[in-house]
Amino acid sequence: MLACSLPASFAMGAAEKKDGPYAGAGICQECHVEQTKSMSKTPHWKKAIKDSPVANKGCESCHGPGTTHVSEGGGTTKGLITFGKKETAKQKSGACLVCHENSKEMTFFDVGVHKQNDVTCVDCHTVHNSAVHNLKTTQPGLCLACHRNMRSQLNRQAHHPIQEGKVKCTDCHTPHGGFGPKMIRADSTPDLCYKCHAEKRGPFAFEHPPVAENCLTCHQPHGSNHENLLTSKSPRLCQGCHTPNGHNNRPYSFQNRLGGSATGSQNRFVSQGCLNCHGNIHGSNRSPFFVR
Amino acid sequence: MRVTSFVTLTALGVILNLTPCSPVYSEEQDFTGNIDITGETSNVNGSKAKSHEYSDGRTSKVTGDVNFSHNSPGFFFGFSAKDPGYDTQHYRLEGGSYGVLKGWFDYNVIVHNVTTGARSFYSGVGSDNLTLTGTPSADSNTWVSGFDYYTKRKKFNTGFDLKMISPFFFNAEYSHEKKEGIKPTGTQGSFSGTNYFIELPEPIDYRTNSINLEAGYARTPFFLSFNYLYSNFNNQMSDLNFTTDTATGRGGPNFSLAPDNKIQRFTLKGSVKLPMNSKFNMSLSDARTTSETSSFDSFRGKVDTKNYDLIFTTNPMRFLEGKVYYKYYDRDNKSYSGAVVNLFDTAGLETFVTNPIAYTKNTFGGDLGFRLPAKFHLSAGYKNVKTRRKLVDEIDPGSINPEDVLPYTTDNIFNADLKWNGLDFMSAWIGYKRLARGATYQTTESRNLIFRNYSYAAQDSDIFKTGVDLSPIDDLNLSFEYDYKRSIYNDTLFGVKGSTSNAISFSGDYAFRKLLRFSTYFDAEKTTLDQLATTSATTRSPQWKSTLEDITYGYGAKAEIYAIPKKLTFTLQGDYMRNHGTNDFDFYGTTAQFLTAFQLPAGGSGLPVNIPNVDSYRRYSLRFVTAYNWSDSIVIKAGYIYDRYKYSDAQLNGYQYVVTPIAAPIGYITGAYANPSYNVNTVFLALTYRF
Repeated sequence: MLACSLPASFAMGAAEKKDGPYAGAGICQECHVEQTKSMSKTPHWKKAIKDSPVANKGCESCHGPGTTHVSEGGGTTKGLITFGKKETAKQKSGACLVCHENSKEMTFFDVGVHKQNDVTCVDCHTVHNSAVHNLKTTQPGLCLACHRNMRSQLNRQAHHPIQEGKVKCTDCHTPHGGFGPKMIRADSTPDLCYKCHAEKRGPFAFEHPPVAENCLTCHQPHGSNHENLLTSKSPRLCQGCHTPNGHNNRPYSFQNRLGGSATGSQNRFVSQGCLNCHGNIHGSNRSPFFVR
Repeated sequence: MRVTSFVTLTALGVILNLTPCSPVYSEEQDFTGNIDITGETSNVNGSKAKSHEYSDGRTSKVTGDVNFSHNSPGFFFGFSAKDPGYDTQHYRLEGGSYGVLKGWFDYNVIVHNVTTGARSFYSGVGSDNLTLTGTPSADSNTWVSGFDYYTKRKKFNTGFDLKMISPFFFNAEYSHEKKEGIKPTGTQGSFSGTNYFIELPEPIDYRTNSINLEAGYARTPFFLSFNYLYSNFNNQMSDLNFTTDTATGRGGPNFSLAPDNKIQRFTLKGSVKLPMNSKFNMSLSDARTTSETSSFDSFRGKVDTKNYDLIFTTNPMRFLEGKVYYKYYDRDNKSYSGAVVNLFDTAGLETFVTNPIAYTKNTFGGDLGFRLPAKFHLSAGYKNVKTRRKLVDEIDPGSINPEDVLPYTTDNIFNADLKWNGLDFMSAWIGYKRLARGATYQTTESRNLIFRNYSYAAQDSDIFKTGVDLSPIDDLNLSFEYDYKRSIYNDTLFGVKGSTSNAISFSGDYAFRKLLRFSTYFDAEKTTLDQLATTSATTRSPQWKSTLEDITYGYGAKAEIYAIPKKLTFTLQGDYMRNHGTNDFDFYGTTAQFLTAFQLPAGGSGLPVNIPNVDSYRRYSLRFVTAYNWSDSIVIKAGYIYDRYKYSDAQLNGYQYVVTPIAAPIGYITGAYANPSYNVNTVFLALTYRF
């Protein structure tokens, strides 16, 4: 009932809203030889896919009606969507979403920050070749072109193997929009991290509260100067919360290092710092102090 | 059966369509691919693990990559193999029928080398039983075990995506991952009645099996999908047994390893388009995670997680966009709450009270975007996050240790961004975000504590960003960005008091005709973290202050010189990355108090206390590559790579396996993360054949 009552235009993309007659399939390739040649290798040019451009209006399925363009010998792009600077983000993405919105990957594009910031499909994809997912370049370079502040983090001494090509940005983030914070592929940060780090799921008899709530309290996922992607080095990281009396309130200064001159059986910060004893810091089934 | 059918279908498709390429753009078939063979040899001085952190550790190797794909009007098929036989190997086979079915098999290995040449006085490293006769030798050179810290993941993944029932869809995926290796952990133990800290090599032998099923309907204006996830984590070892005295009440000679666990999650997602360019979106999920442990008879882990997302988006007018949303996330911890007795404590005296953590987050907010004249785009938003944390036993919260009573927090987050695209060759933006977090402590005792856990404490945070992109001439692109962040914890007496970050990044690239392409970048960030502490549980005046500072910067340049266009290319690239970490201290009160409290040696007031090197490092990389296109099909590459990494940290410099501040040792460590510096010279020769 609802479907019948909705105006058909709700389902129409930018290309369909363009006016003017269509020039017809086949005429484009007379001039645009290279483009149509490369297109022929892509899924967009497979008639077996019933909604593909080639099964509909060919190039004009995406670029809009080209009669004016053809009649003027290619001298004008009037009426066409060129996916260039003259079109708005909505027009450019709209041409793709006419078909691709009917998919689980793209249906939530409106929800995402990319759409909100006028990032369009053609900023990342080029449909005129057959590269993997038609991406303009490989990850992470593609994402770093905009997210420049990530470059420094990926280059730090502790990092996920992103630059090495073993982990991709899209393993954790969905660039096409989703419900998770920061467009992650999960409902929450721990839920995302548990996908690879299943051993941290617990539930443990003794839980460390920030671990159960947010991995990012202690870790920087994109890269860190500190081993294990920590936000700062132990013991200072742990002392951010644990400062009451006891061995955890000491400054552990330069004198307390390996080879330092300080004395006292608990007055050393070496190697893993607090984790030298509290090794099960993500949760334990033996010790409330995480030492077993 | 379905997988078999898919393979048969794909193979049939390939056989029927594996014919020579047909010309130009008609929707015909093609068969393309490439074969790469690379021989390389490297000379490593220093840490072999860090220099090959995510790569195969062999210094001389011949690797090969194979990729090919076949396309026909009806079918597609692809296969790729990377680094067969090495620790970085990856294989993928995929294929299917356009508009009908897509399926794949994938096998991927990820290695993480942490430290080579670690040592332990225990026998049985890598197993769940570490044994020692007598007491550890003070001479680490006599220790019986030499080993490497590393992890290796081997993941097999397969699945299919059924498209022929469009607008309905169905997909299924199965994965099996085996993770093995040894990681460093730590514990407290004793020998002959004396306590030590002991770094333990913890064995890793995990298996994770996951199944993901999804079915749905997708046809504008509706979308609806149902997803089921089942994941089973199995640790082949439940405890790490190690030789130590058991009389000290530290939990016995058993270190608990990650427990077996299972998770099941049901998710319902949907969206519907509404009038006025509006859309309603939702995601509802319900999950249960359970775990088992051998430590306590009475403990069973069970956590139920619920997540509800409701989002309404609209674009009613050309110049106006909007979004309002609500999110409910609940972690309901139904694990056993109460006293447990450690079964490994033979005296039967050791009992603990479990502390299952539960919380609920309610989030709502909205964003508005305005397209203004002169190509300005203004967006502004507000978000409110209320987090209610609880311990499961709330009957008598006053009886709970006040340190374990977590506060409620309320976040008010405001943001505004302004972008300008008024010129074809330039765009610029500026943004501001503010977080105001309030914390409410649930009991009088917890409210009166003098320290605050910074992740829950009241906080004021400001983030400022600005940047510009320029393309003043064709083939020249420049970009500049500045980010500032400041967080202040005004209600916190001790612990983290504040942090700041200033970061800039610059990048540029230029192409000169078809002869040269040049790119460069520079990134720099300075962060500070201020903490206050006291030596007393009741004193409200600070006794020392710590300021951690990281100055991190990196720069690089790359030039591609097309000496003979499309024939001979020289590539020269250099990168540099540095972090200079320091930790400075201020002390309050008298020097005598300081010396007594922190056990510096007599006369120590003149000794240096500031730490000049906290995770400081420099990394250099230089590479020179020559590529020669012998023909359209054959490319030959030869190159030289120099990598150098120099690391310095007070916690690891002057490494001692037996930590001995005075006469007697206080701890035993194994070499984890020690001496990671290296320099590597690599030469390689590669041949690529494309078809």
